[in-house]
Amino acid sequence: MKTQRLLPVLELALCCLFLFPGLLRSQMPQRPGRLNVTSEPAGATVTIDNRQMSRPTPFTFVLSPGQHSVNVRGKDQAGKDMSCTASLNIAAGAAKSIHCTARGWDPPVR
Amino acid sequence: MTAKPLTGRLPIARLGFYIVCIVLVGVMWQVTNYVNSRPYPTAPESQPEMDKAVDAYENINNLLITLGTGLLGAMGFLLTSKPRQHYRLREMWPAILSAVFVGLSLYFGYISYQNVEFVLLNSVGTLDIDLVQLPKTAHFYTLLLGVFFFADFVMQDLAKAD
Repeated sequence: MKTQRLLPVLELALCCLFLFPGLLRSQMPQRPGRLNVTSEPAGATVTIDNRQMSRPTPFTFVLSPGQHSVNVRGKDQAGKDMSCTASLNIAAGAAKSIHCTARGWDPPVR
Repeated sequence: MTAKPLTGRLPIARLGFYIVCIVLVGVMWQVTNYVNSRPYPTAPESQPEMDKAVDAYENINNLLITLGTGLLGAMGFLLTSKPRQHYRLREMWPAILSAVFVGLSLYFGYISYQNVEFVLLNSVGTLDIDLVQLPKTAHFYTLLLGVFFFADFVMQDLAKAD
């Protein structure tokens, strides 16, 4: 009999879990952010989260919100290797720009 | 030896059913959160490539959903076309598992569709991200498990008919 009384409660709990729209909205992914990466000279290789991107600089990449490591590698105008590395926090829906030169990020990335 | 009829176990079976449903909802909730929080750095593809990828995705998604609903229909037909006491609980397990996996497959199909919509609305520019690929793969493999258990149930049913 106790079980019989418990069933409507369980049915109600199940309906709430399935139908509560506020909870369903939280199941959607967060809006992505955008990161515009440029370099001097252009054509440097971009690696984000240890994954080499298919496009060289300058390019605007789309990133999930959160912390990402960015590395830009290429040759400067004198033909020397240049490399810039940073850890960036990308907010949902935000856009950021970073510029890599032979002297590092310009302006510095924090 | 005759098995207890399913109707005699109704309150316990119903309670068990709701407990399993709530556990399943909790697990799927966590799985969806995990999928939707996967990081993705992407370099958006060109529009023609993206259009082709979306077309291919839509075709396979429609096909899998049609197969899943067809399988559930066939299961319903098999279960209702015979007298009620025809199946014992232990014979029903493959049918129950098949229905659960097909249900999960439809759920993953919906999540992958929702995430493809998200990709298009937010101009992410590629379907090659975990957000789409994980539920898409789960959609297919859970359907495959559903088909496997359905086949097991049908084989049992055929052996019984003989």
